[in-house]
Amino acid sequence: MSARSISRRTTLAAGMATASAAALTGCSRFGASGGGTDADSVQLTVMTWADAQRAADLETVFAAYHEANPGVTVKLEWMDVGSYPDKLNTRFAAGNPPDVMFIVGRWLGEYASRGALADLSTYPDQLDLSPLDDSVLASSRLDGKLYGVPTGTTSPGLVYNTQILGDAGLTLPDTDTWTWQQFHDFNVAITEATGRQTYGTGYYIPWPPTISQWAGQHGQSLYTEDGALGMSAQTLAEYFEMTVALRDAGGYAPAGSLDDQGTTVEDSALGKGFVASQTIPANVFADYNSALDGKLTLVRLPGEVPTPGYQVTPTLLWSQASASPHPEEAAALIDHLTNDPASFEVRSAGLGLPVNPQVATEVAATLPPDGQTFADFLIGLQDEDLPPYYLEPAGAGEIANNLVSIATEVEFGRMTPQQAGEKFVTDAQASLDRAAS
Amino acid sequence: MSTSTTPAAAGALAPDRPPTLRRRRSSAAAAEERAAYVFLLPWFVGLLFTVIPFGVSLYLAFTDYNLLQSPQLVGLENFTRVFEDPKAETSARVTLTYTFVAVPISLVTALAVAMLLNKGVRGLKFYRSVFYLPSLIGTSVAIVMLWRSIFGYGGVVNSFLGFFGIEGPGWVTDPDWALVTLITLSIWTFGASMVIFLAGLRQIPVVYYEAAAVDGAGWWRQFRSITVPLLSPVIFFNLVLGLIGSLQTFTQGFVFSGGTGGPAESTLFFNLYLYQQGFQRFDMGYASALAWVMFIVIAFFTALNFLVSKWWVFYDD
Repeated sequence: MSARSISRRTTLAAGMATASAAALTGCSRFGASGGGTDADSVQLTVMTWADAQRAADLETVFAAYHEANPGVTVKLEWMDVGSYPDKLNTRFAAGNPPDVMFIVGRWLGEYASRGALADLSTYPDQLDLSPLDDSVLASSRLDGKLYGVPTGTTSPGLVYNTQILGDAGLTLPDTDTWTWQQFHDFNVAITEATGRQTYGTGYYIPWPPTISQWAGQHGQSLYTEDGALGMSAQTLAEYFEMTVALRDAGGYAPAGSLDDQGTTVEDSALGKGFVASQTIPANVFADYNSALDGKLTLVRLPGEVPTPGYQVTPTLLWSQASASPHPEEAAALIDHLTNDPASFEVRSAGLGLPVNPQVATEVAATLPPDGQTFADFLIGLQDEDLPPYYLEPAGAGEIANNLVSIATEVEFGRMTPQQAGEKFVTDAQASLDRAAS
Repeated sequence: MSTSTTPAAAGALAPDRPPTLRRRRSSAAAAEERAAYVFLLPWFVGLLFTVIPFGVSLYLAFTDYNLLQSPQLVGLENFTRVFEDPKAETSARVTLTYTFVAVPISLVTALAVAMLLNKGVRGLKFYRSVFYLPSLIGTSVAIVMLWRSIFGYGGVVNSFLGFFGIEGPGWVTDPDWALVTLITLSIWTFGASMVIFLAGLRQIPVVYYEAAAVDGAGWWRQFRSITVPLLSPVIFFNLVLGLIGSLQTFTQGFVFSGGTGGPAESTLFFNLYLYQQGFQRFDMGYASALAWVMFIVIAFFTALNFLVSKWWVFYDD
């Protein structure tokens, strides 16, 4: 709808001069088609979250795409991650969704089961899925239909501010094999060495990837292959016990001191040196490291020995609205963003390592140093025997939201880790049941 | 008055039917009535935009509607769910706590400040504007954001407390404090009711106070026997508006928590939960049912207010 009305408006503006001249000569019929090439072109709207730099990169990609495909104009709508879900839902509700958009794995079940997303396997002429490994697509396939193509792959990582470590005279232990106890001691040591000026860590406790990894290390998984809850109350309780012990010992920032509102990296607790470390999706390492003038080092989360819990997952998914008036053009754009190495030239591996292996090899060869660090980190992980990653069931989005509340209750001592674990399981079960009904 | 309108038209009628005064007035009244409806037209158009969504939401409350597929009738299911939903209960508790704490305190504050200003303070207009200002901007997004940062963990308030060696809590991030901070913000916006109180106070004839003073009545006695009864219609008006406004609180909770109702659901206002169900969870049928439950609750409190008002509101006419 909006795509059409906007292009009509563009036509109008562009054709204004001709139209007025034409009106004088009585040839107004030709005035409308005098609007130039945009008049006949299909306009696609792509909605993502981004910072200004990432948005500019994507706009460069889309401008180049328009050069190569003059029949298609791509308009980027970008915003901060905090306002993205509401904005997207409102667009869907108004019957005016973007043609192509970011979808997070744990939202997929909810959108797909409501018929909001297109089955991307139905456009073989536009979107070539053959180069992609089937296991990569498994996590966005539901009932035999493909609802998204990963923008790339990533995994959780932990970043430490090396300047703070250096000033404190501390050296990281072997982070490929370190235990949670070593992690605990190291963070407490940072806090003590800086005289509480900097806390050892301030990672986001209710982040599903971290919790999923913890479950894996305990021989469980957050969700099972058939979409059930795979984590026990006890396992989550132990995760919270670990965080409470770390905070009590001073290794984690005090309750209420971290604000998870969307701000820039420079303004974050890590950027201001309030904490020395936090978890990030490893693909954004380059952004973080440039914001902190190259002071960061990217390491693995602890506890991977003896049972690994690390998962290499899709960073985000490119999905297409089932209501898109230009489904074929939209699918072709997703193909460009997935299979064309040229589309990665500017944006590099910011959205994860390309899922097309050939493209990945090409892109990895030309990465800037920070991107290379990420690629090496991820390739190192991929070489290991890791637990599989499944589609997150409908209800996973709500479960993630409830987890935030539960973590806050524990943070302020209003719930014991044990109670939190039990509440999580009860709530999660209810969310899954409701989503399935 | 428009009795002198359209003399030409009146003259035209003159030959066959001499116009009586009564007739002329009624035609003028009809013209005036028509004019009134013309002026009311925008309101009627606006009314459509209220009545239609009203009706649609009532229908949707009895359906399962996810905004993408057409609504399916499900009977009373959404309504029974409201009363079994622990989050709906939490959000109702947050909203009622907020209302029953913030409304009385801000009414008392507004009345107290209005009475002080009514004492004939120099620069009354200035003070009136200063106190009124927050109520104009208090519910705006920018001000809520400003409060968020002032009361943030490392904000101005905690820096100030830190100066005295007090370690302040996370006024925004601590679930025990977030609602208190929002209530404070609400009380800060007492100015609108204050201005109305001030106008009401000026209506009370000074002779009553003079007579009471002659009879030896003290300040408290005058307040109880003259100010409160004569001001009671205004108090009642402010109370009803305050209750309705507070029960419908949305913006403050939304902006404060970034739409989540956090920390730990402590700012999950009923309206915010309704919004989450409708626009984050796509459950528009349930959201409509929540909206109707809220409408009934507000109607109940308002009706109760009017019933009780018979006993304490005194109309001096």
